[in-house]
Amino acid sequence: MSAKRFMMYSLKPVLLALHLLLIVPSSSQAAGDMEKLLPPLSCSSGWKIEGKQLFYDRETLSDRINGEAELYFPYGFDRMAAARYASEKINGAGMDVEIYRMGSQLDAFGMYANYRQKEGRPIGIGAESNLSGSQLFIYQGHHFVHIQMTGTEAVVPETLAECAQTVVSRLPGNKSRPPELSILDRSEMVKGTERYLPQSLLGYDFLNRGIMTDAVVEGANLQIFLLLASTAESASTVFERFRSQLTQGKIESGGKSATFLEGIDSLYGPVIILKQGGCLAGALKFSGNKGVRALLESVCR
Amino acid sequence: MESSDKKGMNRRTFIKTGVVGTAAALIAPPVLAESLQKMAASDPSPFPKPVYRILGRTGLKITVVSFGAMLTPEPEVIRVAIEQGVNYIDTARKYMNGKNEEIVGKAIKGMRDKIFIASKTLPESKTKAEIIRDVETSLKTLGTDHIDVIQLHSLTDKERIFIPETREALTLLKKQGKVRFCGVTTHKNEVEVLNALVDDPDRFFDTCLVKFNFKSDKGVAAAVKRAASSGIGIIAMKTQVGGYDTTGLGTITPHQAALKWALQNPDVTAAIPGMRNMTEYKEDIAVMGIPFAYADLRRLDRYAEAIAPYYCSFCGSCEAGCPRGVDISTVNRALMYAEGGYRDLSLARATYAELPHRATAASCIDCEGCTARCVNGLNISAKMDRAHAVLA
Repeated sequence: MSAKRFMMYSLKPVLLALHLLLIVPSSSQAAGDMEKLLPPLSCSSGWKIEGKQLFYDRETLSDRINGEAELYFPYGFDRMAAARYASEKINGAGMDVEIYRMGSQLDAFGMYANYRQKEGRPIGIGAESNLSGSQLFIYQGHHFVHIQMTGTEAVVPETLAECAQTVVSRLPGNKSRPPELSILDRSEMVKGTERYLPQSLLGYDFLNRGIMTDAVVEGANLQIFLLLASTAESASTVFERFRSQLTQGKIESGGKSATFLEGIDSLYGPVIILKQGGCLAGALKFSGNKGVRALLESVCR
Repeated sequence: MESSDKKGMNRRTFIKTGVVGTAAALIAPPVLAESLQKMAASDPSPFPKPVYRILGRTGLKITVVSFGAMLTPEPEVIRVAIEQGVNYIDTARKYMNGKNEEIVGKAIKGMRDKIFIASKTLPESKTKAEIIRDVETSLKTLGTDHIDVIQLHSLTDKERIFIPETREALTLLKKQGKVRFCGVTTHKNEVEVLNALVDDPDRFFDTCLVKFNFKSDKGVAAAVKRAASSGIGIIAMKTQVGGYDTTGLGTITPHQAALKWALQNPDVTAAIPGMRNMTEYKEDIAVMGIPFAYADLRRLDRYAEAIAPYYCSFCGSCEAGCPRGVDISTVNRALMYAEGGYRDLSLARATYAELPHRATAASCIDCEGCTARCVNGLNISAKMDRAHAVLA
């Protein structure tokens, strides 16, 4: 055996042991300042922490939620803190609290909107909240919170709310909604249907960073989308890309640098797109186009 | 067993009769049907003929590239896939707290008889009441009266395969016609789970959705083979190893090669890549019927080589060798956010900014010789230089 090989063989166990010693367990690897966010002892009266707080980052999130982690990454997921609080009265019952730190307030809203249930109800905690059955979803600042009660059929909404209040009081940020959503504060928009998608709006990879909402114009339902933070140049690029895939595409000037594009999209049927400077907004799934152009103009104004 | 339906039709004929015919019939607005007709007339679709295999002892004949709906935000994308002939859609009660099932429900409206639906009970559900509740909720959300394959979600060992209450609930649901077949899914400890399905004397579960890709070890391949031989229908997931963004790696596009790698294995009935948008859908679906070639093998090799210099496991072993206390693993992680699959410079800079200045790559600038060593052979000095240039 050569000296080099001898060294390799003799050092291998040492290196392996050193390697193992220095590997920080994934559950604590990403703790950082997230440690302060979870209630250390109790989440709700009679619900005490069970086991350790766990922390996950982009490399380890899938250890906890499997492939669903991929949903979080486009929203700038950074870290997650999780803990289970067990009931002192009901054997086996617990509340799992998960706090996800997302890239921005808008990203946190985006995740919240992905999970928000139509039949859920707000409970006035955080920027927005949605309680349905045994689950509660909240966002505040950059944080998206999911609380789930398991192990009991007797879910008490007040207990979930108390836990949520305890958690939210420890989160930075205020109760405001992302400023980007203020564009949708119009009577035509259907509240509670807003969504934010950081990529693949409408299922197209050229439409990124946009918000969508249901709307009602002249008594008819439709959907509105708006690209965020686009420049005149990027809006023009997307506009042309959209135009190239439409059939029966027709462009009309709307005056004051506004350009309308009407056509038939292969997935959605008739669509109307407005480009005005750096604003690109569109309408789809409408039965009649009365009032649609005016609504898009007001969105871009 | 592999077959391609609509033999004798060329692609254009198939598109006109199959796709447009279906679309025109099922998507009500005449204007849309008309536009689709025009599209088909003027622009032959790149979609291939569907290729089918039999899903083990279920006997279901499903498309080899099927639809993983988890990441799909719009039902219209799924609907196009169904119109093109994709006939197996995979969702779960857990995804987006059931909203993914809602999206699938919208997509399949009016087309239920053309497809097989696979969903999953909640990972924490074990009792009879919980399993029944999950399935009933899924049926309601999907807007259907039956689920073709209901799967126990995310098994990490064999324990849940043998829970009597779970089986009792599934047996009842089968008797009621609410589910047709039962399966399991596994991302972890796949060999134990697959072997337990085979060794189960009751042969209770018929399918396994298993993480299986070109990075999987031989043990998983052997377990997949054994399971398939005993009649378990094998569906592969995570075939593209997380679908790394490779835009920064030149012309290497390994996603199709990775999908083909999984499908070249006759023990695998189908794969269910997640598809966010039409581009991903077209990329994945184009693989149907195309064999895994030597060029694909090279592509995967090149991909592995290409990511090797960037790949840090963040073990931190190297840090003991740095006299200046640089947090090398975090610096590397930040660099990965900037230049790896994430391509997120703001996240990279935010991660880097969290480090105390002395722990950043700035400490390496006037260091005369790097003494930190990587157990995987990464050039740490070069990585720190790069990180300082990109992130400081």
